[in-house]
Amino acid sequence: MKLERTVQNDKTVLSLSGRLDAMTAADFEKESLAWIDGGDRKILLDLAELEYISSAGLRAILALAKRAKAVGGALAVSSMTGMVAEVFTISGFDAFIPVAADRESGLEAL
Amino acid sequence: MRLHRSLAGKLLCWGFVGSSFVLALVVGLGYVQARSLLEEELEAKARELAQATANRMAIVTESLERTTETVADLVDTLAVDRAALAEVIARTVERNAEIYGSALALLPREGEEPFAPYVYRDGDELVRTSLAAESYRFDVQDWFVLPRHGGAPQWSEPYYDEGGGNVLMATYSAPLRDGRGDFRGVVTADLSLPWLTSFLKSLPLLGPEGFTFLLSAQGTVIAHPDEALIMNETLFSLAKSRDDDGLAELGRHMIGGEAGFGAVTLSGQTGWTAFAPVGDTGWSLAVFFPRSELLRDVATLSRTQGAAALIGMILLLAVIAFLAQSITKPLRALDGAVQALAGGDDEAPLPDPRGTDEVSRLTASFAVMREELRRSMAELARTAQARERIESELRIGRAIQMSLIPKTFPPFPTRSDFALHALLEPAREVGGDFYDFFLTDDDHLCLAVGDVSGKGVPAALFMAVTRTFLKALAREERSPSRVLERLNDELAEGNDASMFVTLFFAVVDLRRGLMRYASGGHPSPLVARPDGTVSTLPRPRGPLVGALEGMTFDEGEKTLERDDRLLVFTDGVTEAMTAKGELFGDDRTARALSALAALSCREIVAGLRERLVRFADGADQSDDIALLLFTYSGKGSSDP
Repeated sequence: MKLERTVQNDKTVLSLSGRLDAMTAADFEKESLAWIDGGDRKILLDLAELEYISSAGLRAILALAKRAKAVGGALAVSSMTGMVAEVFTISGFDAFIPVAADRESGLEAL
Repeated sequence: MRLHRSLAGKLLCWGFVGSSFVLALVVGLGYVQARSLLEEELEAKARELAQATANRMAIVTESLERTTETVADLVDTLAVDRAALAEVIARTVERNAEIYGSALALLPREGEEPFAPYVYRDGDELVRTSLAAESYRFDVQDWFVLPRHGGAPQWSEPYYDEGGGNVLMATYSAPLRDGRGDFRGVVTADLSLPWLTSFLKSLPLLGPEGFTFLLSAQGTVIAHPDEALIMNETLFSLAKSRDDDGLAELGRHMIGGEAGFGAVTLSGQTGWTAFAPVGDTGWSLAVFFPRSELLRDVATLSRTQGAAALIGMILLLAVIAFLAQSITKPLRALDGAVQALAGGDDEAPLPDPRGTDEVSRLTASFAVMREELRRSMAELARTAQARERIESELRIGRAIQMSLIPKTFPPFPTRSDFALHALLEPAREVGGDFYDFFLTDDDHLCLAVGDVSGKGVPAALFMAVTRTFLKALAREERSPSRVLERLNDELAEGNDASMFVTLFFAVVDLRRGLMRYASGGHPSPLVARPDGTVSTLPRPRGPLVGALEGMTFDEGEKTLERDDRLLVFTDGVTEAMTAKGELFGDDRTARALSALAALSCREIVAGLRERLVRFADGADQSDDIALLLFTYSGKGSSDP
């Protein structure tokens, strides 16, 4: 799993690549929660390069969304493909996390 | 002995061997060189001494000769009376210490009183006597005859002057002539051989064991420390009796009037002799130096050298020992520390790293290495402790997980209208899958398969809570979607850890075969006919259960045919992986079920498990696997 952070105005884009599973989810959660604590409010998760997500990964994203909401911010995901998009649909995550087709529309929606 | 194995011992041993070799070489070479040098020096010294001694001798003989000739001249020119002539001779002896005796002998003439006064020493006294006695015919003596016939002053061969001086002597005689130049008589001077011998002894020698000897013109020994030889032997008779050609050769050179040097054996001693002629006496003087004395000198020199070498070697060894000690002391301490480290003691003292030599650098490197080792061991211990904690938590979680699910099969042995089998295969680390089934009344069977996010004790507890709520809610609500909605709200409340569960929940009306179900983000179950036809159960909309409050769930319905098989599973099945990361997938799952569809519940579950194991081909199971297989055998609507 690789995590890259870019800031555009008041919005933060976190690009995830590789596998987000039980092994890597804890690191991802710790790092991104630290950024929220550091002041990031509007966060877009760009999952274009993410190959795999497990329930632990979903939980980490959920924790992130909850924290963002708690501090008055928002979290959205974008650019999901294949298995990741499928898992998102199956798990019903799209019911409580805004999903955008690409990065631009994701940033606009935030 | 430890010495042989230690570095210091080796240094000492090799230092000893090396220095011994060098020193032996030096002393040996020194010995040979000293001997040849001493021999050369000896030859030069001996030649010089022989010449000097011969010269001293010559001074004696020449002064004697001059005195004799002066007296002869005096007698020739002054025809003084006989008493005065006798007095001249007496004065001559008195004034010349080297002259033993002196005679004036006139050729006896007709009518003349024989005249031959002789004066000689007896201790400090002068004895005046006359040789003109009846018993002593002086006119036939060598000392009278030789100058008479030779016409010139001459030395006689040494002789014992019986009736004259009564001593071994050699006589120099000068002829006297009358007015016409005819032979008139002789004037003589005697050289006493004992005096000569003692005179020679008073001269310097070539060392305490060397000696000087004198040969006459004929080779007769006239002076020698061994008085038995004097006048009794010639060098040639000695050479003959000893069968020594070298000695005879020496004799020939000596009486030949040569000066020289050569090796010779004398008086039983080998050695060297140098010789030189003595004035014009025809005599030859030789100095002898025994070899043993030279060798003694060389030996003394070599002993001195050897002693110096020995002291040098001891000093060298002491230096080596000191160096070896100072080098190996820190090495030994280091060795001790390494041994101690190997034995588990990482606190053993290290030698002070003084200087920048190899040992100091080694010590410093070792100290760094030991520090690293200590740190990484502490780190390892901490990690191991942490892992132990995590693993024990995971074990506890798994134990809770396994203890909560029903494991007795068949679960309802008295029921013939349905059959059921399930399997939970926890992964090594990830946990939280579960299945459950229970009858709310005789005709309604509840089926549930879930997958809790997370692992360990939290996941196990979350699962326990989920299961408890589910069981309670299923008794209050007939609608599965309703059950999930209420379950969702209960779980979401105060769910700080953001845990959730994917859940498939179904209620089967066993009388009619009608199954109503809801799904919270769970993979869709499969339905199979005994002939191998497999279909996927349509999935009603529904989010993960417990994530957020207030979510709604849709509900699905399916009327089961007689012998329909329902397979509910978690993503541990479709996401079972090979070592290369290939997933088992939906299609393989469906095909496996299709192939096994004709079998009993237990056999289908066992068959699926076996296929999953074979597929993983030894790779670690990455996620829990939960399987639940339900077969409806009741009086379905299509029941004939």
